[in-house]
Amino acid sequence: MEAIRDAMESVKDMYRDLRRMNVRQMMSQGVQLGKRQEAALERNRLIVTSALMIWKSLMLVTGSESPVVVVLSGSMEPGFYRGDILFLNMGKAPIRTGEIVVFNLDGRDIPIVHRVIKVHERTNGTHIDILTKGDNNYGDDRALYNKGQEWLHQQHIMGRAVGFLPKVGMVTILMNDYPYLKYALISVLGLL
Amino acid sequence: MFSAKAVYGNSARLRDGKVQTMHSIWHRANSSLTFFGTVAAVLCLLTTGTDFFHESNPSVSLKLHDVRRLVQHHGSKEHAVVTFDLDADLRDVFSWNTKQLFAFVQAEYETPENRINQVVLWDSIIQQKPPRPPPPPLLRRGDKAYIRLNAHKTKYAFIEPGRYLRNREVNLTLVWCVMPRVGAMYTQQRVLPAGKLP
Repeated sequence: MEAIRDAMESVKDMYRDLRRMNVRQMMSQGVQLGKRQEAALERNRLIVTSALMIWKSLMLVTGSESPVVVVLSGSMEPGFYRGDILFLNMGKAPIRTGEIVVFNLDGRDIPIVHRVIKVHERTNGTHIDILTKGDNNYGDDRALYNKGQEWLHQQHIMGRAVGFLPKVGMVTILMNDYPYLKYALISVLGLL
Repeated sequence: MFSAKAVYGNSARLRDGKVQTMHSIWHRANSSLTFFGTVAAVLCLLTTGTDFFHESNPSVSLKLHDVRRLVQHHGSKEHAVVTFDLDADLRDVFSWNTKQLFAFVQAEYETPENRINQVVLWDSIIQQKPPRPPPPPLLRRGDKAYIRLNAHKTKYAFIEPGRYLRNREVNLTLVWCVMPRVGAMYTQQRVLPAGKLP
């Protein structure tokens, strides 16, 4: 109630000031307001651009298409829960068992984070067969692969998990499940 | 706290004519959040740094107990049914920043077709237990980090995609992945030659 009364007071003050000013003062006030909004817009543009630059350089440095991923399912519990963030690095080292890899199956766009349990690498090094399994799953991932696919190959692997932050990615999952939260967050950030 | 001045900001016109809006709720919230984020990030980095200094030397004894069968599988593959003995004390590997260990036993061998073959035969998730006084010897069996398996069957099938298992020299390796509460994961292993398959 007090807020509404204060708002009314400030609006009344503004109106009184406006009436006292002449046209030239009003225009310069308008320009100042415009400048402030322009400055805010510029700040937002800078923030977005620098975030994009940081993301792209992370992609270059880690050699992975997606240097940071959010764990979406509970198939790696109790190691990783839904909402945890994983830092990925591709690197030139060959894939070996025990590594937690993020892979993309052909025709699907949601990456999966599981552990490698079988590796067969050809002698000339050109080809590698990989089988993965989620720690919390009963069986290996052949049930998840495409029909008739028995192994993963180098091109399916997007990166290895090298670091981990608990629960920070929950925001992404919430925004995915409740889209209105996404719009609300963007509008709040825009107002700041 | 929610007066108009707190929400919309207290404007002040400085001497050079610029208008500075300060002390609104948004500004306070913004600075607190930024400070929180910065401190949290520094603490996370320090925490994961302590793992760098953690040293451990667990004792591991791992050998093939028995090869029960070595047969053809689905035409062009081979399937070996084996049992193994594992004796490992991984309790020292835990640091205060360790959430769990993922330990597994794998068979490694080389064939004319594949220079690297790694097949995981058994795995176990060992979670960090709350600290308590060292248990008497009889109770050690309760601690999953102290692994004692005798003539243990493999969890996963030992399948070779070709026909190269006969008379093959095989290494059994115990690998443990240290998964931290915060920060970088690392892996250590012990390789123990297991002799030839029949």
